[in-house]
Amino acid sequence: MAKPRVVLPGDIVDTHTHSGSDDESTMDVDAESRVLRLGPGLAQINDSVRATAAGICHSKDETQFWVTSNKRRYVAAEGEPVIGVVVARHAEGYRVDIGSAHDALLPLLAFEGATKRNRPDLALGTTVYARVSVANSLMDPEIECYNANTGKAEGYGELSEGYAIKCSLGLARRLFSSNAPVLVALGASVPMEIAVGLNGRVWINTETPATTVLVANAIKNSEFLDAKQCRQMVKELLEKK
Amino acid sequence: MQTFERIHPVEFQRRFLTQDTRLSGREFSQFRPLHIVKGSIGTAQGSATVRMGNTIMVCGIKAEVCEPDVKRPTHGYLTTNVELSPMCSARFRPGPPSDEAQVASEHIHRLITPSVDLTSLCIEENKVVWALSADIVCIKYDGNVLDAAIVALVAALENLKLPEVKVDPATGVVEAGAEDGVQLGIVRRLFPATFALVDDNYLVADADDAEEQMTSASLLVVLDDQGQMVNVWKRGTGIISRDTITECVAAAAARKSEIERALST
Amino acid sequence: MARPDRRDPDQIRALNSVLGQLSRADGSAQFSTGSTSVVCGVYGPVDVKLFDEHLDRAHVEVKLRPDIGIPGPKDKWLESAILQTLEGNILAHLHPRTLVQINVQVRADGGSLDACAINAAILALVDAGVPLRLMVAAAACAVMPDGRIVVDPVAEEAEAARSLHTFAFAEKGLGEGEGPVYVDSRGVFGIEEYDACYGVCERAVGRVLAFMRSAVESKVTKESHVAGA
Repeated sequence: MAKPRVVLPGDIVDTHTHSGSDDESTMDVDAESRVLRLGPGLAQINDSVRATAAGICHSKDETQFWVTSNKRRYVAAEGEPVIGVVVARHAEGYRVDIGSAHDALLPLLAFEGATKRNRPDLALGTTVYARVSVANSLMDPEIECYNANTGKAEGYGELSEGYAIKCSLGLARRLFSSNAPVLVALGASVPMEIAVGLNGRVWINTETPATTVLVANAIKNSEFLDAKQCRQMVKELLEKK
Repeated sequence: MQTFERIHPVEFQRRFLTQDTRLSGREFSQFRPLHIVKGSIGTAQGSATVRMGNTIMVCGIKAEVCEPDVKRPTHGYLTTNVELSPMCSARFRPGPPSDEAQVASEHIHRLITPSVDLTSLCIEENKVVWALSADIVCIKYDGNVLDAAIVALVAALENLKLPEVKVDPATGVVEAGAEDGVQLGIVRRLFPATFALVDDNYLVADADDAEEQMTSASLLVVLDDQGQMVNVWKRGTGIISRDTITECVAAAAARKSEIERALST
Repeated sequence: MARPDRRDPDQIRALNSVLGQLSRADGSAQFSTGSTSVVCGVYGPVDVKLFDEHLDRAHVEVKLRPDIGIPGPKDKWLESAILQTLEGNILAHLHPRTLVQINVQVRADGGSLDACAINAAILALVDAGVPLRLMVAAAACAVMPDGRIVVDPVAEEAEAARSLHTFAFAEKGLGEGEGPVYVDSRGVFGIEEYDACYGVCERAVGRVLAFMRSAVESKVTKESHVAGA
């Protein structure tokens, strides 16, 4: 079961444990007491767990199952960092385009040190880095630019200067993991600031526009390259510069 | 009971279906009786009114003379137009025809075109032909308009009388002669029967409006005079098994004789 | 009697597909059977017009553009056929108050267009990651005047045919008990001919589904090959 496999919509995912003996009675008890957690791309349809999207099915501890798939349209999920653009200002907060079906709400008080008197002032068109705080299918998503527990910004907030590019959600997720080969390769030779939103947006800031473009191109090119190819591609881009 | 029906229309219908009955008192496989009045519109060249329970469709056919298509110089034209206006049900909005009406028009057009002899509409080759436009208007909507529309169109075509015309060879002017002239050459008549899968479980014949609201799949079977199938059209994701479709074809044959009887009166 | 393109009666034309070729769409697919080719781009879930908004599910919309000219009644009819085949297969309740827009562009119609358009649309939905219940595919066949049944007819055969049949089946629906998702049979035919066509199309759909599966699998593998590294 541990081995990830490719699933298509409608494929039944076998969630039964196969470890242990063939004794059916113990297995039944086991199955009843086990609580399954189904992640994205899976749904219970009638009596079986089926994939609803094409992707790779992963499992952990035989209780957690999820499908990773590459998409281009973001669907907000709680806790994920996103990059958005302020599109409107209301009395209570901002409307921010984060690429999902509905614009997200960013309350005026969801910033570090913000009070009713001391409000942040963001112009329309500002790029912000924020964390999704409320996400469910029935409500518009809400985002915040601070950690609600500590009250500190922790890197969230307005992204001034720099340049934001769009990429697939799969690529954004890979860049977000600390050892993305393309970022490691770039980081070794180019000083840069980078923010990755899991909504498929990447914000880049470097010393010169030319370097920013180089980094942007390198990231876009890395979509289908493995670690070795990434290093080679970055090397070639740097040589051309 | 009316309150229950209004607040929980689905649950209300379900109470009947689980008892193997329908609100209308019909059996699952029972169609509504058909009443056809031919020639109901005096000003049209052919017309018919069809009543199927509370669904009423009127078909009027207007004939005009025009030039034939260069590619088919001996063929006349037959256009169909189904109208589902706010007059027949609150479900429809005023304005351009809804998708449902357009799809019904197109589907009926595809069925009727091979069913009439378009060459019988030729007045003079390459010069003048008849262009028939059949307007099928829903007066009262209570489900299954497609069946009613097809029957209304067939009845109106049977009723159609084209006046004798003469073309003056010198001037090219077309002159109408005596009224009540020739009839249209009809290749085959169409006998439709629609079945609906209601609440994913119950296959009912000739669903009414309330039943249609709960329909997850519908099946149209159209037979010709010989009882051969000319169309099977299943839409929607509800599961209608292969065997059930075969049973529906048999039920459509029984419906055919009902329609035949109604057409001949 | 040989077929115009010398195929066996039960042989479908060469299938071809390209996934994700449109860079601005959320998901896209080009699907071709022989000379018939359709491109489909899917957007979704996106913001919906207030008029079309449903509080409990996504609104699904199909827009079809013909290869030549402006959309007419025929195209509206096919739009509705695609919608009716796919709408119930989309798990629309997972994304309430949104819109899933399916844009279909016909590139070339060399026969069996309806089936090709349905296949392109389902692949584009898979590519976009729109949650689906099952894989669905369609196939067409024709009964020729001499009674032969030919699968995946070209335009010339469709023109001469006594009856034309388009069937769509869900992947897990191949087997007993379950039925077709979509049927459009027209012409003049008896129940035996209908039954035979049902079987022919069911087998053809099986082949189309196997093709789709390998196309999607290879794309997923290509993307995850990097992820695993």
